[in-house]
Amino acid sequence: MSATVTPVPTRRRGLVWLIDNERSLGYLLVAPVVILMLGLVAYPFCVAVGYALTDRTLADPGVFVGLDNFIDLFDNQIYLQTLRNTVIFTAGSVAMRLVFGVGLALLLNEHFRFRRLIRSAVLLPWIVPTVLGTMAWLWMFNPNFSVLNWMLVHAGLMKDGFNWLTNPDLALFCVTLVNAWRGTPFMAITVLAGLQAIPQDLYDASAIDGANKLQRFRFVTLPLVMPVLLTALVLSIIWTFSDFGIVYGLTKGGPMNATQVLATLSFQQGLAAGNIGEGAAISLTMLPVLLILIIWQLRRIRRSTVA
Amino acid sequence: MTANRSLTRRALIATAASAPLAAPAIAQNALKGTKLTILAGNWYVPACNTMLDELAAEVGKDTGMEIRIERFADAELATKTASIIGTGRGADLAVADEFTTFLYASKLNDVTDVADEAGKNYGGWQQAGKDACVVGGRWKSLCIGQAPAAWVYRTDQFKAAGIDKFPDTFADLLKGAKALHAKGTPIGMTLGHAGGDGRSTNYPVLWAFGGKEFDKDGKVTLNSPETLQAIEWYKEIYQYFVPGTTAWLDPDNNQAFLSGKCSATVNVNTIYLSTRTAAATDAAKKEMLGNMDHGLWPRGPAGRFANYNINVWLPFASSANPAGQKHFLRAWYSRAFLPKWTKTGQSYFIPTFAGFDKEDVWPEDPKLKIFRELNKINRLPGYSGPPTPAAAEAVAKFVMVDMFAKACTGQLTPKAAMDWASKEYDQIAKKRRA
Amino acid sequence: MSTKLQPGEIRGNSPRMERWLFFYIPMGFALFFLVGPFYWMLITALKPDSELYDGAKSPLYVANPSLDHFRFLFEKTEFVTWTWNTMMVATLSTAIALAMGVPAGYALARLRFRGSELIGTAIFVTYLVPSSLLFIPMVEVMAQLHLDDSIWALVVVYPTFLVPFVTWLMSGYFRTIPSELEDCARIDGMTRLGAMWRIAIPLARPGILSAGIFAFTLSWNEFIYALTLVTASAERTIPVGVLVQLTRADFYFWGPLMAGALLGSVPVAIVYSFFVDQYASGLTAGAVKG
Repeated sequence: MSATVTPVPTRRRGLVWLIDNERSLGYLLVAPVVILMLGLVAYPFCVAVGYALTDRTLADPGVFVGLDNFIDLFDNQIYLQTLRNTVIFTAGSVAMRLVFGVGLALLLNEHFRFRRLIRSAVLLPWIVPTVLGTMAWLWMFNPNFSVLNWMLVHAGLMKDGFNWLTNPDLALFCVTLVNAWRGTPFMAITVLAGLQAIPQDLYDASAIDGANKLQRFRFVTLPLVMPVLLTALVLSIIWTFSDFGIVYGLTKGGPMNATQVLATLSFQQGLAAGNIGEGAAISLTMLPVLLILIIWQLRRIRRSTVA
Repeated sequence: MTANRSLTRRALIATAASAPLAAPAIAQNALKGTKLTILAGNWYVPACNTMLDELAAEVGKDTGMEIRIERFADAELATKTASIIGTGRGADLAVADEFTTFLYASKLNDVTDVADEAGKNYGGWQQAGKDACVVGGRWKSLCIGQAPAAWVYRTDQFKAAGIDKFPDTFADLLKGAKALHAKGTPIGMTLGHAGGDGRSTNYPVLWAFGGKEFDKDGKVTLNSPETLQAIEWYKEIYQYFVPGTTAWLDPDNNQAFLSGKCSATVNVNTIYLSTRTAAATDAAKKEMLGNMDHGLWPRGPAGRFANYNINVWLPFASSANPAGQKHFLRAWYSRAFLPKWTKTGQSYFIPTFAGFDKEDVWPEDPKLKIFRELNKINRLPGYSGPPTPAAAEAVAKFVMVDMFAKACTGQLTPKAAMDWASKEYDQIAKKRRA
Repeated sequence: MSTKLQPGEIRGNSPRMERWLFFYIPMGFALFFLVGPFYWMLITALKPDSELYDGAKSPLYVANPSLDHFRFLFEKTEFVTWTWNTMMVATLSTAIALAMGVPAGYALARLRFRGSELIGTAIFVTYLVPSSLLFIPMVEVMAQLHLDDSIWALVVVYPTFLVPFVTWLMSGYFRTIPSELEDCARIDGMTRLGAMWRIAIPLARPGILSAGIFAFTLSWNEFIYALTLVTASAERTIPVGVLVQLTRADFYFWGPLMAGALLGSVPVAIVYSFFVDQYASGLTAGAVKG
């Protein structure tokens, strides 16, 4: 490790010292990031926390109400429903990403024609601007012109097709599916890279030991891909838990708040209904969950780096 | 942009003619060189948008004020407006929904003087216009107009189901819906989180049965036998709807009707107008046009009601150019502009002036005649109480739509749906009073 | 791409059935799910309106393809300006994020200084603060900086969510690079900064590429800030411009909307296709040790 190497003992001063001393250079290099974060994240964050402790509306600065906003939330049916939706949305989407993503990574790891083309093509859902990709799905779920229903009906599978965004449960499924659609490429590409980093010798060795394909996956592939997989998983959870664009684009939280998630509810209460305090409080309730995840992730990585 | 071009030209002329005396020239015209940013949506009739652009260009030319119009889709326009109220940055004037007046009153300029002049121009403001704009006795916004929604229906399909004219009572409407459903030509009412149709479709039902969100003092009175009756009626008629209405957003009833999947729905005149436009080149649309008409809301036990989106001009108090705001608004309400604009919209928006009855602002098309009657049965959300922030918040949260939808889909019993909505209203009212 | 045998590869002697069952069918399904919507966008973008809303015609192919919707996009909207803005914002904010995040990542990975762990954690935690919480105060901050209502506001704000990620990824990536080369260079008299600049950063190129692509994609997609911080139509980005110009209260312009979505993603996808391998490997190396 570079940190343990003692620098050549020469006398250095001023500028040279600044860029050669481990401590000063360290501070110098992180300073811009720290300043940016203090100014443009920490400061607005504190302002927002301040909002959450008042009954501020858009038009009225309000007064300090302590934790009333938070207490009221837990007596509010829409909020509780939203919390439940968000958990289902996140768990469902991440589970789908995991299954589709790992599956797709295994497929892409094979040899086949047009491999490069296909590998780029499957990235598309992740590249298209979220709200616009969501518009395509909105059009596919359209109550009157749903192409999905057209296919189902013409394949003779159904008589009328589904009311995709009408049925509360189905609507929640739809927003979850679209989120998974968007997130699967990232998972697949990340896992694929993990797969490709596995040395071929390990497979050869296990083949000599008589392991079958399934065993090879279980005892060679999985353990070696696991670190990448977990990282991709944690990132996916963070993104999905605070996702805004997909629900905003597809349902705006309807029908009957069946697809309302924390980010859209916070936006609706804070801006559309004008209760900045309440909106900020709703957003803030996202943090504990995310924080726990992150701390766990960082711990895990540190352990693995030290080992 | 025309405004910019003419401004430059004027500036050039001014410089050429009196370069050393530039400063006094500015003093002569207080607005010269000031800026005015206006947020607008896209009104359905394209010519109405163009007329706003032209007005801005004209006012810009006369005053030397630099006027910029920025357009957004409705949902994002509301977001943008809210963000300007919250932060005081972004624009000077905006087109907005009426309840924004109450939500944002303390951050809006007093434009009572302009309102009084406009009222004088056109025989006085109607109640709906005052309700939408006056807070604490002062005009905090100016009513652009109401977008009246009526029943639009297929006369051929109604006839085929044995209905000769649009039903006049809720019982008949239910009967009609059943007959139409049996014929495979169902009707549909928007039960989704649609900013416009969600309101105009659902409040009238509540009121017609005598249900009320608030009493005259603004106390929550939703929990009543009348409300329950309204919900039960809705639940019954819902079985005969086109499938999918609980997911309908604003465009969906238009599409359902235009594609022939829906024989009647509640909408502003856009379904009719788009059919009329398409009929010029499309034979199928031409046939549909011949078989289309508009109907009034039926009469319920408590009377006949309607609810429309109202557009207002919001004069942001954060504006650095209040004089420019007022100047532009005066131009908007001038005799040279407003009647012409209204006529161009063919009753898409109807300004709330008593004197408009006598003006030449009405569409010639007989099938649009009914829209003239609609201004008289309109109520604002919050009726029979005054329009309040609490009523506005309930609209923003779609409580009314969801109450009906929850009962219609069987998610809750009618009674439970009413209890749910009452609790939401209580919470909103408690917070807004506090 | 390497041509060596891949793990899990089905070798030539596998029965055909198996290849179909375990490869073609699942791959077909995956492509249908992931790429199908883009086919649908293309079809919609090419269909004239009369065909689009005709329930009797098959929605899956176009009888009379027309470029009207694309023409509408270019002639009746400011799509070209929005594309330019989006490119500018994404490129500049990515450049800023890299300029700040790569050195910070290096410092956190290589240099020992008091509080480095705390700073590292704090930087990454800021990544969690949702934009739905920050945008209202952010509008005020931008106003104070006199940056409101222009793409420059976005250029300044986007790094706030790009930098944490870049820093985290890069610190992981630097950890995967052996430090001996830098040590040698220092013995030869190079400063620490010089060693970072001349030795470590060139070695970290795949990681930087990943981080850059990642940052670019995030800025390309961003919606809440782009909507709330910018008013002027000429300053909008593609997601906001297309959405607010082509959806109206009672009518969605499905054709031009889909044309806009396609043009807003396919060119980027083509550029990415050249980097996808390096991108993936850089990302994994960085992510695991981050």
